[in-house]
Amino acid sequence: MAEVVPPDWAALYQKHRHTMYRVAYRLLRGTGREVEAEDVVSTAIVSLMQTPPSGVKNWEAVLVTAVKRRSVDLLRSAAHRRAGPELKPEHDAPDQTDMADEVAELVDRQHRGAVLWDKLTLLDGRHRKVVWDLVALGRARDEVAEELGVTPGRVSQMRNAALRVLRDALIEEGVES
Amino acid sequence: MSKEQDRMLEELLDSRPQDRALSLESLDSRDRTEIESLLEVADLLRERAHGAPPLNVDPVAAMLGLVPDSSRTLDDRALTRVMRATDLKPSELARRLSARGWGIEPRDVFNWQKSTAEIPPALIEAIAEVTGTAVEQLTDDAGPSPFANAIQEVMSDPRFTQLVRRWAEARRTTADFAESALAARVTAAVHRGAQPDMDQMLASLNALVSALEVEQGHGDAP
Repeated sequence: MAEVVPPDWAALYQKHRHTMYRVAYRLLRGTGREVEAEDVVSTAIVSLMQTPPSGVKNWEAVLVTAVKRRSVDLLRSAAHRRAGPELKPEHDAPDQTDMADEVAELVDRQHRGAVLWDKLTLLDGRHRKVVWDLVALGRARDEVAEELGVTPGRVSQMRNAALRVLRDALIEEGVES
Repeated sequence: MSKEQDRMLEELLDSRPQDRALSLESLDSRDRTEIESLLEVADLLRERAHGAPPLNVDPVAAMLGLVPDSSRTLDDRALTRVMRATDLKPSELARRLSARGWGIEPRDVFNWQKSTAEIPPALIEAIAEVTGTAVEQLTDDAGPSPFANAIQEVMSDPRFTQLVRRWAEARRTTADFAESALAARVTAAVHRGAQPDMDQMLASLNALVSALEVEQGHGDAP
């Protein structure tokens, strides 16, 4: 049987780097450590390179798992420092939590995100700007309202309408969660 | 959408998914389903906006050799010569590179044979391995670029070596990986366009390593 050559790390990273960052962002969001997404991704790649897995069928899932583990490590170490007591050797064991379902969901939502991105074209320019600037980029409502020359209340209405159009489009496509 | 739904959506849009359960419990199942589905779309949009940074400022990309280097381009004539010598067709070279994870089409190889191509160093290495030749034989070496000189200057400083040792210790990794990780950050900083002087660059690396040491419990908290 011919030997299966593992992919180049650079090629893998080029293909999946956006997914890795998005997963890190999702897991770190609201923890005050979002800026460490870069470090999470970097350590995830380095750890995989140090101990390459074998017999991989789905590299995207492997990379997402590595990011998930690193994010959990980061959040746990922060929580532990806040909580206090020293980490003893008996606590320093690999995490045995079965992440398969969670990783499958994280991978799946990348595909839903890609469909959603395409569906943004269903919106007119003003609604697209509102939903992207306000929701995706987290810009201030008043700022966006001023740029569009409408009231902040109207901006909220436009955002809600845009979210519904996108939600309905995902349902129609059969990729809703 | 009712006013109550509007209010709830407004309130929950900026919250984390794991923090929403309690607020959603107060809604009847129809409203809950409606709000949850809209929040899911909002979350997907947010994640979409938080992908990787551009390649030239992505430290991991720099570490892995994904940032094209204008001082070392793929030489079209050298590639054609090597492919002829090894009797390798463009479709076969594309197939072998794709088997290694590079999404390369035969037309990409045709284009590389027509004119000098600025492609990532890691891909040039892969081509060299696939064709059984040395990278130097495939590249058009324009001499060290100003970027390469700046990076080299930082990396040859003894303080950089010290930082590599501390990084390796804090990360519990090898010196080689530590050097790659820190070199990647220097490369990304240089490619961002703003080239700080060597002392500034080393100071910012020192801040990074110190933060990591504190994180890992190896250093002193500020």
